[in-house]
Amino acid sequence: MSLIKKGAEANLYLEDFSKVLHPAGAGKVIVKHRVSKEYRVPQLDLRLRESRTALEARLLADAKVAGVPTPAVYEVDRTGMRLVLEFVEGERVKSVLDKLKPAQRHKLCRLIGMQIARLHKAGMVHGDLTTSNMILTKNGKVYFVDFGLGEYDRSLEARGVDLHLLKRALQSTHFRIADKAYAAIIAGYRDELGKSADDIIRRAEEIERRGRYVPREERTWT
Amino acid sequence: MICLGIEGTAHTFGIGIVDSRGNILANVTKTYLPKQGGIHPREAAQFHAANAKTALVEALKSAKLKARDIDLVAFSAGPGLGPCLRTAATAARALACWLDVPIISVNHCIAHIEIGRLIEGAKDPVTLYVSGGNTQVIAFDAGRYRVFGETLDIPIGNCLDVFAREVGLPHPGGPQVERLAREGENYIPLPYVVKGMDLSFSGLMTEAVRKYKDGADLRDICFSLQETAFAALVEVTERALAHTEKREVMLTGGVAANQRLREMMRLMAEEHGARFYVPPREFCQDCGANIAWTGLLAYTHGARQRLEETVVRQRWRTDEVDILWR
Amino acid sequence: MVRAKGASARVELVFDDEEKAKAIHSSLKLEELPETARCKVEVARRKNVLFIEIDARDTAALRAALNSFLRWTMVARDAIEAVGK
Repeated sequence: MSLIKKGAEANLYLEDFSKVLHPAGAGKVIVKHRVSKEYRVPQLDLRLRESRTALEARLLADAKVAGVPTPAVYEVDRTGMRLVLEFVEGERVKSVLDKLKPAQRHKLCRLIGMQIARLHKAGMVHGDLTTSNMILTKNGKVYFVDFGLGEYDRSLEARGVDLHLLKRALQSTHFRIADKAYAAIIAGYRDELGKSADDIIRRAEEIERRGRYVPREERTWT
Repeated sequence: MICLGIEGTAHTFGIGIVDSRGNILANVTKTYLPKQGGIHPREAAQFHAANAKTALVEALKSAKLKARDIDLVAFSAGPGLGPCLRTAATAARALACWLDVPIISVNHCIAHIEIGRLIEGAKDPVTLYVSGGNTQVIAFDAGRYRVFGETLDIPIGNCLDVFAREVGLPHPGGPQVERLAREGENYIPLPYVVKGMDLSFSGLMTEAVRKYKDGADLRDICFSLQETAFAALVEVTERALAHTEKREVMLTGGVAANQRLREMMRLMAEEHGARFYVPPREFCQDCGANIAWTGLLAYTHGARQRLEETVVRQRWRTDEVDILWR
Repeated sequence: MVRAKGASARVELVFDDEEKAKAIHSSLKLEELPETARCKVEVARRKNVLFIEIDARDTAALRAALNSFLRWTMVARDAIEAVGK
């Protein structure tokens, strides 16, 4: 097995389909292994790895049903803390976003916004929306990957956090174009979700203000 | 060049004196301890005002300097509590005018990172800055310190303090929780909330208090509270480390005094082959030397400010500051 | 500002030295920016005398502003006296 990514939370391996799943199969698969963390107390470590493995499998499948491209889930191994997933060929949005022409970038961002709205509409949040977790394929599809922190949650708060996180990711990784990219994402999001998007967008702005040092009494002299 | 720095964002009033070679000539801190409950901004500001004179006299004496030796005044302009910030700012302006030397506003969070880089020799770390007022994961990229993760509600130090208060432990709560946690054996599941690289502690705190009221062993709760909250902090730092592909990790802020948090951070850093730094306690906590050194860096790299530009900024973001010296 | 219903105060602080009054005046000047509609503050100086004028909406606001400005005056004076010349 070849390690293709040592992430913070899991290791990704690229493997032959025939070796991992069925001898008759061709092509490659991704094996996502949630490794144990020495710094965590064992009970918490087990709980996080197990719940994230199972939940991620369900979210990936449900997102696909909702119209958001995700890698197919071939196998869920809750003992070994492994998922076997479709290998999606393409480029990470992280590495292409800054290089695209403005019009193309705008289109891509709108599509991303629309897909986030579809997720939210179907009762899910991704939990870790960054451009590293989006893969652009040759035919222009955007795959959302890594649902390890995703949840079934229809609350304004969860959806607001989802948008806020993406904005923050843009600001830290694509700071030169962050504002325009976020505006286009929001436009796509609003297109798909309609008027109900407004409350969520407002909540995301509120969360942005809330995370700071906000002592209650700061504005008074008394 | 010699810079006098004034810290006054929250509990601590501090005077630091630093020269341009990075020698810390004085570092005097006066810390306000509320008799009960949390920090009262006005009381803290009153404390700062009442202690400013002594702190300045002690700092000059320990640095063996006279007023005319000071070439620059720096002060913590934010983020922090309004009344405290304005008190420190007024003192700084008065000194700069009186001594007829330039004045520089310093961002408190950035000062924590810069003193760590100076003292520990870290070059380009992913920093976890944890205190009663701040919880941020910060890394340098393209001219600024970018915030990769932060709390969505309360800071970790506040979470520990409020929990301690709710279960009747004396202030400050952090060390009390740490002491009891060492005797805890059973892990009680508590809400673990990481959203991407951001964190949330208010649900965790509420649930920990509820477990106490339900009769669970306080030592076990302290243990579980620390394990859960710290695992979340370390995970977020780990994510930022993986994302930025940096080779160094630094832990700073008041909560960096916690031995268990240090151990967890060290284990994480080791797993990623990154070097791990924790500045000495004196510089993890709020102090004037942090401010003086950062002000000096800014000034010697061309930052200039008029007096009218020294308004305090309670919500000054770490990523709003252009870092001229890197 | 509703002056008719409000509360106001004028404070005169005499310093031993004009230079000192000047530095304190400069340091306070920035804090007169109103943060709320509750009061308006003006700080002025003539020679070695500092004037603080406060127009507040009510006595609570007046007391708060007075406390704050006296605290800042004190800290500015203390800072100057601590370092000397």
